[in-house]
Amino acid sequence: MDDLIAVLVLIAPLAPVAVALAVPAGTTATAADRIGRWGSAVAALPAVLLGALALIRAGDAPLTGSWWLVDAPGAVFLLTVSVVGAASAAVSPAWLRTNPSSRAGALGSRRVYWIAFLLFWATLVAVPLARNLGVAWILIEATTAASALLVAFSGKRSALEAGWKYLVLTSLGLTVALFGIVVLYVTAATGEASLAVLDWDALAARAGALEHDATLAAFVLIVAGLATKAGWAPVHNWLPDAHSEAPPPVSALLSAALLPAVALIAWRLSLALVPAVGEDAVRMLFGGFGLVSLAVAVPFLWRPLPWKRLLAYSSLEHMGVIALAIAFQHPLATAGLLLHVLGHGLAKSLGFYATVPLLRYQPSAARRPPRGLASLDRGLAGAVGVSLGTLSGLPPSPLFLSELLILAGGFAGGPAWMSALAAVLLALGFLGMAHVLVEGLAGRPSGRRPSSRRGTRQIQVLATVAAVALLALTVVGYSLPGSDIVRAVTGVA
Amino acid sequence: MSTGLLWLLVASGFGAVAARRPAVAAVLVTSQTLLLGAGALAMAPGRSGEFAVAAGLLMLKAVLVTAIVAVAIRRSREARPHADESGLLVRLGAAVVLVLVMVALVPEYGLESVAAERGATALIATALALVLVRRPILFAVLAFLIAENGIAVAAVSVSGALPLIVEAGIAFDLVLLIGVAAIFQRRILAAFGTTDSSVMQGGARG
Repeated sequence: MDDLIAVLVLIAPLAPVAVALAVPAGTTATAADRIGRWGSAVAALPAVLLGALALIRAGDAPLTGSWWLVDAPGAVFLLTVSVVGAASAAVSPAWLRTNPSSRAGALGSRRVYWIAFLLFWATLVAVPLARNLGVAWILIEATTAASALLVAFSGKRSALEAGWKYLVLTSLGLTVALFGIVVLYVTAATGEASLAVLDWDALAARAGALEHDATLAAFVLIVAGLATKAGWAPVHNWLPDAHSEAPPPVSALLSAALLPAVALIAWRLSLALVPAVGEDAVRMLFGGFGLVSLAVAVPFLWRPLPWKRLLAYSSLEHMGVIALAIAFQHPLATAGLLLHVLGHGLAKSLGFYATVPLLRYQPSAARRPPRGLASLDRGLAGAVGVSLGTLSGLPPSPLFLSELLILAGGFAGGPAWMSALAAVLLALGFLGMAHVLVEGLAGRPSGRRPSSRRGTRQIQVLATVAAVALLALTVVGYSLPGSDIVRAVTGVA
Repeated sequence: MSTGLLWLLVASGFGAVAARRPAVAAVLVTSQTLLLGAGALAMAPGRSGEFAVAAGLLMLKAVLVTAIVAVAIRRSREARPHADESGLLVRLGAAVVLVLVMVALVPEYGLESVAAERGATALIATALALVLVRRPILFAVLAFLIAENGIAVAAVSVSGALPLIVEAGIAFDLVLLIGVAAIFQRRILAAFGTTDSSVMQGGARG
């Protein structure tokens, strides 16, 4: 099995690259779409298989190569990235057909879209596999170029602004993180230049002997820099605009895959450096980002926002929850974190995919919250309902259980006031989202009914699959605390 | 890296903050990048082969970035300069304060010299100041370059140098990002009729 995993590690990120190289072979827009969509479905298989194998062997020691690492927590993120990527590729043709780019002919714009999308996705697939902080930084930075072009893909002024803001803010943030990495390298290096100094296991092994002040400064610089890319407040300013303006399948990839993948790197760093910087530093830094993210997001969840912007602020809220889970450093919170990443990934991407038919049949949702979808179309209402119900944390969604686990971990291991404050903010966020859910499904309808079932068939299928997967996650979630997967992270049952 | 060269690098960063015209700031920052590449090459004799390759890479990166910035400026020339958003003294004052605060906050971390540590930190702080106080979007690109130069100062002052793979990855990412930023600059000019970032404030409302 180990040999198979080593092969899959190479194939998983290269498969989307191969599809990107094949896209120009499509001589029509439809052919390019077909290559992109079906190629992506095939390209996701190695990553999904790799993730599944890594979870099966969660109780064993992680497998490592020169630059890669296959372990249970990474597998959870890898599965999320690969599934969301394949689903986004499946939805993309429907969006591309209705929104031709204004900047090129249909075929040209399709090629640009697919190549940028597939390269973005390929890089994201590699992030959870990175064994080394330096390699992880290069991969995260490499996602910026392709994803910035995708955010501005529509060519609208607002999209250009969002793409530009995303490019500048995240690049500057990552530069600060890089400075922190250099400081950490200098602090941890023992002689000859060696990439291995920045390996997660090497950092963890040497952490106890590292000089405290310099390591703490490096830690703060790296986490603060990564926070800009992970969308943690108060350095999240690019997030609402980029999520609102990007094509919906790209918004899904940004929210459900990119943000958690960056958070994974910050998490791995905190696990490695805890002995050097101390538990309190991790708790205060991540807890600060988590609470501020929740506090910034919640008031927006109460406002009547356009659909995609609401989902963007929901991303801010859920990234805050993930930051809190990292801060608490308790096995219960770790179990909650892993469940949260998967559940949020499925629910949030479904919400963004629902945008494609939603804006077709209720165009006002681009400016106002959706209303009365149940009487407009049941399939669309089902998708919006599953997405919002899950994101609000309504039981029996896996996010209800994950938030409960994270808060319980916080009360058990972290400062109680932090968990109590988080609980209040999450309850307020729930109320805001629940209001949108009720209005969205049962309010006074606007827009037009779909003329045939064909227009919403795809979202119906996705909503059904997502609902089943989310319920399955809830069931699995009950067995996560104390499991091999959580033990692999925390070392305790 | 000599203290004189470090002062020159920091001074060119302040020059970019002070410059009224984006083109002047671009000349200062690309000169800073080239100077840094030349400085790294001058340090190569007597060091490891890996350092020499990394220094060569830094120079190559400087040449590529200079070319991209030159093309970007030529293709997005505007009829008149933007209205000055803040006075020279305010801009420079903000940069000096930010530099002093950051230099005071970052502890010594073991580079070959304390001057290199302070120089690297000062360049990164100057970059942050540039983003905060200047409106034309080219300044954001230049800020990114100055910050990367600050990282490069630290990287070449590490005993034994940073691993080559990291240097190569950073150089590749930087060139790619500057290229994408140049594309954005042109498209923004076409869409908004100006590269003054103040026209974009709050434009994106989904």
